[in-house]
Amino acid sequence: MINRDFSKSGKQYIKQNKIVLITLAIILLLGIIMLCVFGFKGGPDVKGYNTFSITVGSEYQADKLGDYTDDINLCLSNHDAQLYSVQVAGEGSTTTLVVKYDGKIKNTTLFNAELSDEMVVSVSNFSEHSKVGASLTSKDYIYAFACGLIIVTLAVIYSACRYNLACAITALGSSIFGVGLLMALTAIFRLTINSSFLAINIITLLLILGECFMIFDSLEKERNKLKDKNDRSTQLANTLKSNAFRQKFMYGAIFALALIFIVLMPSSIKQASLIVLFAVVVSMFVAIYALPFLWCLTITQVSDKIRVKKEKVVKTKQTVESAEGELENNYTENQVIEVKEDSGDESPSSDDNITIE
Amino acid sequence: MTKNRSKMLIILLTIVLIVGLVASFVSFTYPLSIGGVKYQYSSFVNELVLGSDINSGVMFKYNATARNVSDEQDYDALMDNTLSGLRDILDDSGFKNSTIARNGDNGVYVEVGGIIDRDDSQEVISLISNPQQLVFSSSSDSSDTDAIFATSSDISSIEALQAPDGSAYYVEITFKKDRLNYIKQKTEEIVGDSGTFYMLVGDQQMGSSTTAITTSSISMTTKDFIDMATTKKYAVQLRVGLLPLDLTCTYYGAISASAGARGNVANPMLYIWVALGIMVVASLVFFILKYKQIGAMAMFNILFYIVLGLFFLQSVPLVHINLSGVFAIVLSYVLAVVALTNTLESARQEYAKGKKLHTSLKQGINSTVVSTITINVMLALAGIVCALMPNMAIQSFGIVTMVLALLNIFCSQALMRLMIKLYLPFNSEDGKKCNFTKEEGNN
Repeated sequence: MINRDFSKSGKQYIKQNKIVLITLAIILLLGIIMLCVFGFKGGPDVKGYNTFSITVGSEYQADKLGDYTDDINLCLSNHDAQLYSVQVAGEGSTTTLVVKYDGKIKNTTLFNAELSDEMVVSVSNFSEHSKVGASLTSKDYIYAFACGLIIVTLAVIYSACRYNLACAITALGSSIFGVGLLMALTAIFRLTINSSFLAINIITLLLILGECFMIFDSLEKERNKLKDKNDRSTQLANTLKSNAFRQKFMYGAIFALALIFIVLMPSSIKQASLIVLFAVVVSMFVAIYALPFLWCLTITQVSDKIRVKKEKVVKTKQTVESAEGELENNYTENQVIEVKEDSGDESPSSDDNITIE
Repeated sequence: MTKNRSKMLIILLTIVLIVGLVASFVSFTYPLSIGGVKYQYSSFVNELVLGSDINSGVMFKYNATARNVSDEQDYDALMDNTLSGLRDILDDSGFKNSTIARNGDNGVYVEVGGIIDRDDSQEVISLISNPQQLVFSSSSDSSDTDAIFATSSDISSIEALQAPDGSAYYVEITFKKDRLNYIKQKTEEIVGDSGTFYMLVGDQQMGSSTTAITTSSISMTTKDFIDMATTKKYAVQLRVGLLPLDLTCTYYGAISASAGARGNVANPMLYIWVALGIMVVASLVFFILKYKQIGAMAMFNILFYIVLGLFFLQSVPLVHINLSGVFAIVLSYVLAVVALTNTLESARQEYAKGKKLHTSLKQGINSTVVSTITINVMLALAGIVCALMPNMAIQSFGIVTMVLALLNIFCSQALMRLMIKLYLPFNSEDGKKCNFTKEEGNN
């Protein structure tokens, strides 16, 4: 299990979670390799399909559609082809089953004869097998990418303006990591992708960014409650605690729904639902582990530096003002020297004379 | 608010909700006839525009041939232009949920979704099953090919228009710039010889003129152009005829969902309704069990969300629900439930700290304002970005997300506030009725 003690420094945290982080790195690397070597496993929208139609005419019985599909599936798998879908076209004497499949059938005459024997309904005519091209074009991928880019950019700008730079970096890092992980898992498990894959990636982005905003809001609230504003560890622990129920409930609900879809739907929707399932797991992982870790890492690196600088400037001003006030009030050289001694430096305006909590 | 007033409002809202639920799910024939005609009421669910991937559509198969020998060398490029041209035509005609792909070497395969009823399928069939080739000829005999001096390939655009005074409808045909001079010259020659030139579609003469063409476009009207819809239909048929390849429709007819059959069910939409139904029932049971009485108010809220959601999804003109749209519905619904759960959980925490029930509930909803609005505004903005994309899957996802995110802000904040207001006159003290408990020491 992952150690969620985020109070440790980045290096210590990485050391403690070595195995998990190495596993993640392997998944991402494996995903990249799979993508480079095999690419995504495209469905009918992505790489097109072969199709033929079977005229069954008025002998067609709607309640036997499942049997027809099983027969067609069996024959296609005997010829190393994979069934995508069976659709019913026309009505009455023109009722036709339109079959879409992946793979190349070498001897279509033999296949048609086998299918004719196998089918529980007599077939009056087989159409020629023809190739239908992909309906998704390269433009669609570019548009999807552009869409994701605009959403992330807007979210990052919003995070930077509303919260701080560390939150903006966290939102950016979480989004990239989440979508990257989803793509890697899709490539590794060879899940078939179709046009809905583009939307699922955007869902993942939205879930992650939504989670970022929720967590950032909670962090702000928790910080306001704390006496020690720089107690990151307590701040984050309280935030995670207050969000735990919502996270479990939300991801549990989507997860359960994706499972229902997987059980109920035809194979093409089943594949898309499986990717949704991965998207939920990835978003949940990002929400519970990656996001807090990234925030911890960046807040100490970025935000604290800025805050320390700001506080230094404010304190310096306060020190100078109080020193001047005291000088005006007391007119004694000794007290001026005391102030200088308190600061530990000759110059009261120097940055180094402030002790930050 | 007094108890009686609250009771009255709850009864009123319940009636509105019941009417809304009936309007959402039940189609029926009106019991009274108007002018002897009995009208049919179609429920919100029936009126949803569904994609061809999850519901039935219309399938077309075309043979695509090059117009002349020189075109055959660039056949692949012309095919690409034909496919994108066909997509534009279908998009412009309101049938955005379509799949268009090359079929074999010389064919085009089209599946059009978003078909609500038989009229819709007849409309799309009449639009694109009969591509019309327009020719300009010096002879009224269409078989006299030597007399043809301009064809569809010389035309850049065809548009249906209405005369400024609204008196007539016409189709405006604009010629390609590089062919305009030639066409002007030819018509001048014909008219100069006291002749007439004709506009022919197939064997049919659509118009004639004894005046030469002098501008880049020409208007054409017939007695059939009785309204904008008819004129547009004609313009679309001519636009299909403008495509770089000649299309001959070899098959058209209704077809079940492209996602395929499951068991004995041809369209997966039935299963999608079952899955969504399970989701809704589970969430309602969750609210009742977890938060008892105030959970019932949240349940009330969720039911309003469903009715309003269905109303907007069927009435906003650009909404097309395909598989991506279904995923958007699931995401939005879960976020709506999460927003209410957040509110009630915050209230529970406040109550546990020792606050009174009415203060806890009010603080609960106040504490979630920012996060709910932030998340849903982000979703709505993301939805707008997605809706601007030309890809149908992303567009459908975007529009559905946007509509439901805005509705979620209304329901989880405004409506839930009202629900709490209505509940408090009945119980403003006893947390146990809402399954709330105080922490030890905070009693």
